[in-house]
Amino acid sequence: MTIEEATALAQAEIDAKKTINGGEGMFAQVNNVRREYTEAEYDQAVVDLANSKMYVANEKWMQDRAEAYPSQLSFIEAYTEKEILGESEKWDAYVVDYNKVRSDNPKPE
Amino acid sequence: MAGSLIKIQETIVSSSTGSVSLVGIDSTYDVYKVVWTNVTIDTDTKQLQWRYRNSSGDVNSSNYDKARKILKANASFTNSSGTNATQFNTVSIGTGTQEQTNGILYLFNFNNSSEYSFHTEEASSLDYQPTLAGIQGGGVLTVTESHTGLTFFVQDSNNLESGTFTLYGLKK
Repeated sequence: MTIEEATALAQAEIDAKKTINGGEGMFAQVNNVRREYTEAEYDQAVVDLANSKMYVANEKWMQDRAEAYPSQLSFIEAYTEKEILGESEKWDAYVVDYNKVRSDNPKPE
Repeated sequence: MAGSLIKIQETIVSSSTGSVSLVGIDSTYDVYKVVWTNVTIDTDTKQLQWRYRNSSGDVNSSNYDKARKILKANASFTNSSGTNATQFNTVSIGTGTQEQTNGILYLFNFNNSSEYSFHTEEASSLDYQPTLAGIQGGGVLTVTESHTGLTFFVQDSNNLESGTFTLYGLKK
């Protein structure tokens, strides 16, 4: 996804939220006064949403993998049992879990 | 010391709101404190985020740096750091029962136009899984300007559903 594509999608989503377009509006509470977003705030919402779409499309897979990988402790236990004791049961299970994380969170083409 | 925490502003969210701005930071105090409690959002797996404000409004900058530890009850602790971001953030929360975020910021140098503004952060949230997630760390906006407050909002232009945001000054 390019930033232009992300911005176009974000612009359409934010425009649909504006009350002037029949949406429910986005509201700010400043000094305890509630009001609809200014155009500048809506514009910033477009930028934020486009940036987020870029992150999800191009980078989120790395964070998802990092959070889903088996623990370091399970790696150490499985690896040392295989190397030192010659028992590969936990290592084989680790490999399955590791590969599942990668297939569940593929790198974008 | 009795009476050393001075409440400056409190905003209670009781209906869908895109952002909450706390303002009122000036030279009266050296250090300010922000507390958010029972904050819920309307969309699953999104973060509460915030930016600093100056006299012109929210500082939409790519100079927000953070360094934190994420402490999760069900997994190994992880680091959360980065430079040149466009905002600060908590962990992702959701819309399930009791999923919410609570936290405290201490604000430094906000009224000093020749220094960067910093904050320390500590938070305790029931995240989207739902799992308890704590945060300890800090942030800085690497721009030499003074700031008058903060604006909280939800990732991807979603809404806050409820919560209380309070700004205090620490009496000199």
